[in-house]
Amino acid sequence: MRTAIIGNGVAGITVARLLREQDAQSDLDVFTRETFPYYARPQLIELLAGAIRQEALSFYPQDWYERQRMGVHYGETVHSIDPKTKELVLGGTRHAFDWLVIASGSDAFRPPIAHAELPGVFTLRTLADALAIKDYAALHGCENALVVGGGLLGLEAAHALRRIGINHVTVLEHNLRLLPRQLDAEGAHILQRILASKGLGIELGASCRSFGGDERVEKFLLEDGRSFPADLVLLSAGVRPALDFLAGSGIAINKGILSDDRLQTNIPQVLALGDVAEWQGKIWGIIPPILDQAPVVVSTILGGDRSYQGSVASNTLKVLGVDLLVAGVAQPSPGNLCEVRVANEDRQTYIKLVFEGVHLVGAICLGYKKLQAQLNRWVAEKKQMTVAEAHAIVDQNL
Amino acid sequence: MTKFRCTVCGYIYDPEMGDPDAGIAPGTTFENLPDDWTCPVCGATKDMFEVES
Repeated sequence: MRTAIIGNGVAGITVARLLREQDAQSDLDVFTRETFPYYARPQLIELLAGAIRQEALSFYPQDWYERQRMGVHYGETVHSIDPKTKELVLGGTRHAFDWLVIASGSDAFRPPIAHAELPGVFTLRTLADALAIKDYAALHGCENALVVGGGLLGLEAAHALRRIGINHVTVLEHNLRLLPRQLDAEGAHILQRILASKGLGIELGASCRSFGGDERVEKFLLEDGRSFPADLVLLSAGVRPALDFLAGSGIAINKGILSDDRLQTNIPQVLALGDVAEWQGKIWGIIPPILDQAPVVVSTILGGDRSYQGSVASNTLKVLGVDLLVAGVAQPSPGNLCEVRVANEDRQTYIKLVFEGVHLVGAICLGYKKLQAQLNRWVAEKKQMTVAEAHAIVDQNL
Repeated sequence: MTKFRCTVCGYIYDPEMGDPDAGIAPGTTFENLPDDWTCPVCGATKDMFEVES
């Protein structure tokens, strides 16, 4: 049996590991566009911030794949998939497979802003991106950075740029509040106060129209006509599944690759997981669901009967020392009972618990790291508690 | 006491430090962590950890 895996991120390497643990013999090949061995994408922010060295990201030894008896093909772009011959079409060669696992992940989305091709305008998705941004900032002594997009990655990256000594870092968010997907209005307001008090510039409800500069980026122009200097720009406008190579393969896609509960696509023995896979209309874009999906992929390949039942949405974030947990249904539609507590008079902390009937189904917790793990667990198990009990728990921890 | 490394993100669980933010006291061995404890950096579960050598 020959299994090919496209992608060497969390999804690809986790499937490779688990498959090899359960099946010592079959042929296993991993194809990746990356030229670096597996690295920890969650730590790229810390690398950009100068808090860790590159070696700390790449903790799989060079000979790991050899010892696991896997082929790993770095810098190998899969151009297309031939479903009839069951082959990957590579640059000049082909690779035959019996089972194919598509774990190609996602690419940074580049919003259509005029002159975004100027040197100094970056996205941050890969190790190469992080190294390029660091080198560029040092080479040009950058002092005015712009981050387009006030989502999780944008805020963390803005903080990292401050930490490497860029004096002025401005986050541009076209919504009227930060983290619109994660936070409600009150939570976002508190987070904004904290970030602003620590020196991060924030422009809400603003969109970038164009960049300007002769040889490299020097300024940006907003839709409202205002213009500001910027010698380094980071576009942080989300990601899109990496699907380009699927054209002509017959593999059904919507936003991502349509995958069933066994993580099978519409083509027999072709599976998909992680950021590239769309399951029940959902693309998660975070690590924990990948770790739920990988054992299902391996089970499907080896003839088992595991199925993927979804994951509990959960996100933690730390920017400028502020801990934030947003778990489960944090922004309920009307009809659910919401219990909201704002903890401190200076409004730098915020706790909100969301109940469906007597079950805790969602939580926002800003500034209380101690409560995060417990709340996360309770939301996952939809813990039953009365509002009075919830009050008591919150009071104890304030 | 043995340290364990998250195979996803590289975080190292050091029993001497514990994971106070998650309510894990210093001195807690990896084996004694609750089954639902997850990596504080990336959310990986305990079975994704390996002995750090």
